[in-house]
Formats: sequence, structure tokens, C-alpha cells
Amino acid sequence: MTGTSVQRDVVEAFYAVYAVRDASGFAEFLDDDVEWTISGPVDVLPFCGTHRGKAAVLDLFARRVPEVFSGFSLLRDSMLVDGDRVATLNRLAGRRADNGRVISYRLAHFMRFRDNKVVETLSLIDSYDAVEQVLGHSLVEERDHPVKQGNWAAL
Amino acid sequence: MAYEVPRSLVEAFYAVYATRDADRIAHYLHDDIEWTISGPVDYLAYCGTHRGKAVVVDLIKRQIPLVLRTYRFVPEAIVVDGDRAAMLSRQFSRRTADGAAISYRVANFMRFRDGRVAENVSLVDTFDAVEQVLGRPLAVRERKTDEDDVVAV
Repeated sequence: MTGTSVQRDVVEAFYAVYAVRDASGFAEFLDDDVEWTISGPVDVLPFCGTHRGKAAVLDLFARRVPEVFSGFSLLRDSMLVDGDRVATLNRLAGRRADNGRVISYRLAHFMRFRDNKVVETLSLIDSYDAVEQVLGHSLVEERDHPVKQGNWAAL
Repeated sequence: MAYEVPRSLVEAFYAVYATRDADRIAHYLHDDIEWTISGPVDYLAYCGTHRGKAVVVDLIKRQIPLVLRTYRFVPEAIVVDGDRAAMLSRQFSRRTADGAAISYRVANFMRFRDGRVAENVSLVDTFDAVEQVLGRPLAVRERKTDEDDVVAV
């Protein structure tokens, strides 16, 4: 064990404020040295990348993510608590801030707590799905479609 | 009392899973297993939900190696709670077509029943994974809206 154990009710309380985007409540759960990484393409999802320090993570939560998503809901599929580590699988839903388009994709969190505060988070998202929804069109390119027999023209 | 999977079993499964030896992995799979890999089937044909032990063994033994061959897993976290386990690892593979190196993080969320894996959801940074499998960047242009098509008159 590398740190103090976190209690399930602390994790539940964290997710309660996270889900409703309560920035001041969220701040209460962040360690000063928190590192928060969201895996994904920053060209399309500018909030992706590694954010270090409480101020940077709060800015991510309160400003950078809302620039992309105007609404937000979190449906939790599973939550595992094991010592100082937490893993959750969720479905995140929101609306694109500039046009209201609904966006929904899977999101996994792997977290480490220290003294009941989040010190490390890695977010894995189904980023291909997320990008397609943010852009509002398929990413499959014509050149990647295999020729199907039904498409053959008589020569 | 609800089933609780021992950490030793999770670690044993994971060690075997990392070898990609489908026959050994099969020993840990429940007959009614449901195995879901989140991702675009257009580019990663093995994505989707696969039901039943034989189907999942075929997935690991044949379907995935058609696209990539994984030779190494580096575990970063194993979280065990009740009948569930979550694993975060970095996967190292080579593209089957030409041997190009592919590496990305993968999360597995599993549920165990009677000492076997009954359910798995795999989640990866799919955008990154697809670009690596294709060997080129995906086109991420915003499509023009009708308003963009208006010309000055």
C-alpha cells in the first residue's frame, strides 16, 4: 500500500459534486499537487492532456470543459474502491456548447487519493466516438471503405 | 454472501491475459462471458460486444491478431472491489500487416463469477488507437455548414 485508504463515502461525495459540476465542492477534494490527465486528441478536444496543480485542474473543470460542453450528466456503471485507489466506469453526456448537439461517450477514471483528496486521475475516454460526436460527422474516410460486391458496376 | 474475487485470482488472470495465450486465458472465462471492446468497428473490426466463451476465445486467438499482435502489457493499476476488478495497463503491439509499433493505454473493467471472468468492458483512447492502426492521422475537419456555402452577391 502506497498511501492512506480512502473510504467509499468520500468517493461518493466526490462524485456527487463532480456530477453536478460544483466547482467549489470539487476544489475541496483536490490535493494541491493533483495531476489530472485526460487521454484524447487536443486538436478536437482541447481539454485533453495533463493538467498539474489544483488551480490548473480547477480551471479545467470550471472553464475549459464547459467551453466544449454546456450541459453535463454522469451515469455511473461501476465504482471500485481499493486502498488509496479508485476506478470508475461511467457514461458522460453533455451538449456541445456552441450548438447544443448532444454528446455521449464512455469515460473511465483511475484515481489515487491521499488524505481523502484526489492526487492523481487518469481519464480514458472512447475518444474516437467523442470526436465524431463533437464534429457531428463520421471520421471514416471514403478510401477506407472496402469495395463491396454489391457496389461493383458491370464493365 | 456475495462473491468476492480474490486479488490473487485477478493477478493470476492478468498474468495469463498478458501472454495472449488464448487457450490458457480460456480457463479463466465463464461460459456465459460477455466481452465488450469500445471502439469503431469500421477501423478496429474486433470492437463490439462478444458473447460466450468460444466467441471470446476466437476474438483473442484470431480476430484481434488479424489487426495487431500484442507482445507486452505493463500494468499501471489493479483495483479490486467485491466481484469486480479494474485494470489499467499500457499495451504494446505490432500491426499485423507490416509490424509497425502500436502502443496505447487500455482499461479493463471486469466482473467475476465463480472464479471466472463473466463480464469485461475494455476502454482505450480509441482516436489514438485508430490513428496508429491506420498509420496516419484521421481527418478531423469541421464540415461546412449551409451558412458557409453562402457566397457574396
